[in-house]
Amino acid sequence: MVELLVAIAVLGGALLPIWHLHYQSSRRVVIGENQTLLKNLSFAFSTQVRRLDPNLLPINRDFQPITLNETGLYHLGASVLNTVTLPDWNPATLSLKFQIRKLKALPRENRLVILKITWTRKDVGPTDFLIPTLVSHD
Amino acid sequence: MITSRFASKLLNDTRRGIALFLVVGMVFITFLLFFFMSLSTSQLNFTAHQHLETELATQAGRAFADAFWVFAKDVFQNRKGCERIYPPTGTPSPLYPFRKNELEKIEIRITDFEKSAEILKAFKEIEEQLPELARTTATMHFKVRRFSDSFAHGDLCLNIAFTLKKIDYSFDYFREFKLIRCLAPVVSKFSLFLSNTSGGSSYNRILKSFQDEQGQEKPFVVFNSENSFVAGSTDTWKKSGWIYLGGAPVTLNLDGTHPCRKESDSFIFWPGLYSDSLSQALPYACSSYLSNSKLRVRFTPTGAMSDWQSSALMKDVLGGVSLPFVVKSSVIRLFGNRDKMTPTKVFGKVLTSYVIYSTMILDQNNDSVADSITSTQGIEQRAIFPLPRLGSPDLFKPPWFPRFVTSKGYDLFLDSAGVGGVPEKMSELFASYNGGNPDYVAYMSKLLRDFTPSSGIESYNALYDQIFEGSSETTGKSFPAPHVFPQDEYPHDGRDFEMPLDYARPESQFKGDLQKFDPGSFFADLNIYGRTYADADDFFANSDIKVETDHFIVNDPMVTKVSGALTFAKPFMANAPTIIVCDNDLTVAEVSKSTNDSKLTLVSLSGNIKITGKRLDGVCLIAPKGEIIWQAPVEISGSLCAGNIAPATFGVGGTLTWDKGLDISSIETAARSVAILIGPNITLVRKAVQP
Repeated sequence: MVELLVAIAVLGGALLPIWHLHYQSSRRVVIGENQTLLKNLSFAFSTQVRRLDPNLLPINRDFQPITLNETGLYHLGASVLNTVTLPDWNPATLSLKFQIRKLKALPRENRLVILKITWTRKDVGPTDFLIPTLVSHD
Repeated sequence: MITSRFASKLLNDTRRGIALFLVVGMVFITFLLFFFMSLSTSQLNFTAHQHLETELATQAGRAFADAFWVFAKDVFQNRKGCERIYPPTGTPSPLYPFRKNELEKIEIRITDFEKSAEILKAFKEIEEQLPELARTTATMHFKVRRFSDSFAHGDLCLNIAFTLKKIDYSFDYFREFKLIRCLAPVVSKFSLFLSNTSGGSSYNRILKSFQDEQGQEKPFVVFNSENSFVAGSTDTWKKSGWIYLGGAPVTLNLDGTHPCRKESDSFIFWPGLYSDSLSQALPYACSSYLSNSKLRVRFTPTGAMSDWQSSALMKDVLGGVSLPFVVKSSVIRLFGNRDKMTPTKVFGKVLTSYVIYSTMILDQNNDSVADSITSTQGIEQRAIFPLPRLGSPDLFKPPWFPRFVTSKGYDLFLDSAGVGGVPEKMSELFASYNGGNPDYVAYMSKLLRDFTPSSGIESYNALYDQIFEGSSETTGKSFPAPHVFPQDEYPHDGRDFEMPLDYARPESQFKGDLQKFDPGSFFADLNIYGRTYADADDFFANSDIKVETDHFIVNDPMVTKVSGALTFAKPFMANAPTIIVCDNDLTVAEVSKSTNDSKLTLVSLSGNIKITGKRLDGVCLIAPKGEIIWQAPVEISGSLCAGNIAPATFGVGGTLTWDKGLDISSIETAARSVAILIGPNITLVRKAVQP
């Protein structure tokens, strides 16, 4: 009986770090997946926004949430042409907002579109990622 | 029994031991497996994190790069604002001539820009949006892949370096570039460049009398600079547009009608026949007193007009014969008009024709003004006696012929008895027709063709001399005027032609025979083009040209070729250096003035260019194998180059004012004549350094 208890204890003692390692690995994979998703979101957003007409992008003071329009595209306000397609994301962990500003120093019409991705993680809490994209006639 | 039990126990213990060992071993191996899996996921996590960080840095860098390109394109469009490549006035640009080593030495930093403060401000605005982003720098340089005299091609490399979250990043952003001299070689320096003119007297088409305002056809006036010439600046031709009228001899008659008439170009002449109030300031030459008399001869060059044929008085001056070649004046006026004289150098066998109208005057007070005399009938008049042209020595038969008579019938020798300073016989003035001292031929009225070719006086370039003759305070007038150009440039046939690189460097940018020079050869090289288009529709649909309601507008440098024909039905405005070439006919309505002094070059490689509007500003039209045609008077500021322009087209009238912004031989223009075309803003980014 004692031996059995000892064996279970030893086994438990040995399996605990294994479980911990497994937990850590799983969490890292999820984090990695989210990081990859973040990268994809950033790339997709910037690449498409850069092709928009700066004259048609409305300037807004605060960060606005990105919303789907009736055609299933994410809309940046004003003209119906101001739409982008983005990969799906989990709204429970990621929230996407954007802000459109104008760089006054530039001699040509322009917009600086900033994508703000807030990633809420259990361990470190919410973290903001800011991705600037300059839109000009180029 | 004991032994057996012991053995059995030992066996069981061994089994347990082995089982335990196996269990522990498996647990250990499992641990190791999970441990390594954990390590791998940790590495995966690290890599994903790094990718994300790099992506964020890349996008930030791209925003900086895009902001920088805006300023760079501003410089490329206006060809100023960065002294490293477009230096201030008087300094050659390192961009031209195209040399790989020289181009790759150019490194452009933010501080090299005139708008460096704005660039830094724009960078600051971006930095402020991202926490922990700082210390951004930008450097640009050329990486040349190919180059020739006509173009250079390679990559424009922009390095953006900054610190984000305490990590230093450095990215290189590449854009393809082409450097092209946006002004056509050689011909841009010419106001008018015609490879094959109609030749002969074909341009002499305007028929009008001395008092007529205008003829049936109108003159086309070429102004070779924007301002009139300055007295004494005999090197005016260097900074003026030049003229080339092909290899065939061509004679352009000067207009001899009254200088106050609308179309007169008789800027160096004043016909004295109808005027008896010549003043000292008028442009004529006057001889010294003949022999011991108070008579002197005034030479008044006079151009073509119908009166040479219709007026008996005028006909007499030319010896009483009909000379149709001095009746009609040219439809091309090469040196501007009397209000704005713009003399320049003329290439080709270009001759001019006019009459040297000689009058003997009585000038007892030595003021070069004819004295008043009174005839026996009591008619007071000026003592002006035309000296008729005699075509041969047989006609010189003093005292009967020639006769020296005023327009009011006063005969110098018959009516001057008792008048002081007038000899009794003509032989006291002129010893013989030719060869005496003085002889009659030296003083009589003449046609230019009466002079020997070696004198060069028939050459159009001799008018250049005449315009400057006596224009300074220290020199008087004389006729013919001393040569300003070398003796062999009267005329300059264009065979031994040389154009300097610019006024600051000794090299030549072209040396050769203008008669063999093909203005279209530069445009036949496809390497010079930024893009080519299948046809006009493709061009209007896919090029950077903006088609607005009332204009075509180009805002970035454009060097492009379109197959087929091309029509710009609306006014064109080029706000950046622009060359548009098509294969066949090209039609252009109007060209509006650029907002930044950019020039537009339109080329029809094998067709004609038709102008349908009234005004073209800052344009160089080139139809090397065809003609340039307009059907209503047109005002052009720029340069015209064609195989030919028909005399009838010139006769429609208009003006051409050479634009000094086309002066490829001037250091000021040469430095700004290189257009930098850049390709798409490629998203591919190479990360060069990440410490």
